[in-house]
Amino acid sequence: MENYKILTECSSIDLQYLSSNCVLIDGSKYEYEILNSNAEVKNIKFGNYFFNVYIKSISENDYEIWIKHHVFVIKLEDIRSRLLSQFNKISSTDRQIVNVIAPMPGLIKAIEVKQGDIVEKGGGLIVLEAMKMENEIRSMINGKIKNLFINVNDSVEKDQILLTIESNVKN
Amino acid sequence: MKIRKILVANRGEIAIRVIKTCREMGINSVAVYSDVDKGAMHVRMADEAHFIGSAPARESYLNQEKIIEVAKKTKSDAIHPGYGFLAENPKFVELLENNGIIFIGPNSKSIQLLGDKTAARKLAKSINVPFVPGTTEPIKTYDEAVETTRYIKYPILIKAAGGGGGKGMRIVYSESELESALRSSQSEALSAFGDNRVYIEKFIDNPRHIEVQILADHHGNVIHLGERECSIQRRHQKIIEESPSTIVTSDVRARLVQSAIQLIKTSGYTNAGTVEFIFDKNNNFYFLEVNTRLQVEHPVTEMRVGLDLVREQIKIAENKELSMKQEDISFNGCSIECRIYAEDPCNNFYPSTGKIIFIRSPHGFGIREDTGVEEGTEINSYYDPLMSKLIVWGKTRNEAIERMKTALNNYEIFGVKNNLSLCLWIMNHPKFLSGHFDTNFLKTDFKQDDLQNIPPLLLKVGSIAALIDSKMLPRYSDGVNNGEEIKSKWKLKLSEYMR
Repeated sequence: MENYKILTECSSIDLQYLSSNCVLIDGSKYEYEILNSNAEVKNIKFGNYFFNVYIKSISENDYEIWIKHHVFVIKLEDIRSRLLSQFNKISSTDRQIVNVIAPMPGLIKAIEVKQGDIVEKGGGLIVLEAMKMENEIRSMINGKIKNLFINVNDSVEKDQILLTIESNVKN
Repeated sequence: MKIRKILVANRGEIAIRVIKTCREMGINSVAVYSDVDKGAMHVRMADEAHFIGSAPARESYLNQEKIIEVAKKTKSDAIHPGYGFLAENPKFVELLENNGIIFIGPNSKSIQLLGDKTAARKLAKSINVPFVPGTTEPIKTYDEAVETTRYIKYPILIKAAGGGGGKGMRIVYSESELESALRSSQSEALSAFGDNRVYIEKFIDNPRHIEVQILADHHGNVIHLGERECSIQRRHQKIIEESPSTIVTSDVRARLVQSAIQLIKTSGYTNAGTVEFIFDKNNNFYFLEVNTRLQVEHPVTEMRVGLDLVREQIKIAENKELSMKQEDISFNGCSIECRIYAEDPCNNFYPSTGKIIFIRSPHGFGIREDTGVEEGTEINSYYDPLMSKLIVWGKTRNEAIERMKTALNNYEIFGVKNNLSLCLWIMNHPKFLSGHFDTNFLKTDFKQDDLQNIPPLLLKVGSIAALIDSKMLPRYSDGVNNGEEIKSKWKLKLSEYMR
């Protein structure tokens, strides 16, 4: 019996792997079957419901799940890695450096902050032009601008790190 | 003149839409493509396809000389521009006129006149069609802008004179914002339309955006095909359109379509065109602009009146008289369109890129999809993020809404973030259902968290899927592959663990 914890942004479920077609979820037993295990998009039978599911691994324990019109990220942890992450949390410092990345390729039209500026969650950072539209990239945390890696008129790639913010203790 | 071959100077769903009608009419079609579009769907749909340049639009889909060169080489009689790109570029149309190639759309003079938003406002003024108070001349400097705000009180709207689509548009609430808004509007207008002229009009609070579809031939016949309600927008770009509008009463409609017809007639416009109006809270309407092209949302009209607008465009371009009179047009039921965009409503509507891994489109009675993508299509950041349009028809608005909900629920697109969930959210929203909404609807009523509720059943299924895909499966045997030949990915993983 292997135990897993599945976490989303707002929920947590316990999953126990019983066999290749049976799991226990939060104490209830469910039968399932993967009907096309080779395919990129899985055809999954869950009880009497059938779904197309696309699973995209986005980091070691994080998966992006596509079902119907929903896309959501779950964190899958077995007991061992869960203990490990708890340990990491305790040993890490309170302040954290957060990378702000380009959500899409584009051209930097304006930089609204400079190094050392205090920014609030939701505050404007950078104006990125893509697909002929100007998109404002906003801060997702309260903090201080630590590094700026780009200049106005730079072309940036998707996921390129634009700047870093040092978070406040209270984030 | 009979048109035998048409070059479609566009890409994506609209290129495919036009090619389909060409085929029905026995007209040969020529597609054009940029290097990133070599594998695109429209290229394979056409009878033949020609390379026109690299990915940036100005080197390919906006490359007038190259497109004309291909038209000549392929002996195309006409060019259909679709929407966007060269569709409203009078210089391009003039170039075609000088080269003896038919442009399927209005002539260069009408585009010039109506495409210039300030000239169009002057025209409306001259025939007493109400228009939004503001300048009828472009604003160049900050001082001119300040001067204008002496007689048009804040809030005001700065808009590009050279084009629409929300590009270059800025709402200004006070003088402190005016200078930077003017500058960014001019720079966005320049990069979008190659024209930095902007003008100022009074910002109408909580407006609705309603437009009238017109057909006009070269023999003086002008008819209207009813209105389209286009108020559901994000960042000034439409997401959902419907016809008829829930707020246009029959006497308002009579005045509305009369204004539209009058504008079109006075300007000498021909082919398909759309006259846009905005409605204030008291249902007063004001002329906004004329879109001198086929609109993205034209299928909503087609579903109600039973006409193929591209076919009508081609016939008008062949100099034929309209085959129907106003009294022959009957309006049936209600139609709704959802634009399916490659953008993430949970992340500020940022455009998303990537490869479509899987797609399953809805089908059935009263459901139409005009699409430009398929499995394997790469969505890149060079072009508009519109992937497809889902259009439904119903006898009543409620029937159409129910049909749209069903269609959206049966639609799956994996691999590229899209707005299907947002469209469903709108279809279920009390304001949309009641018909009481305006262009601020999404801004005021939509919260990204509204889409984060994942049904528990799907969460369970997703969790199992992730577990099976992971490398975390237990090390012990559960008899899955006793004596069985191991083929599948995850069974293989199991066997590795068991060694």
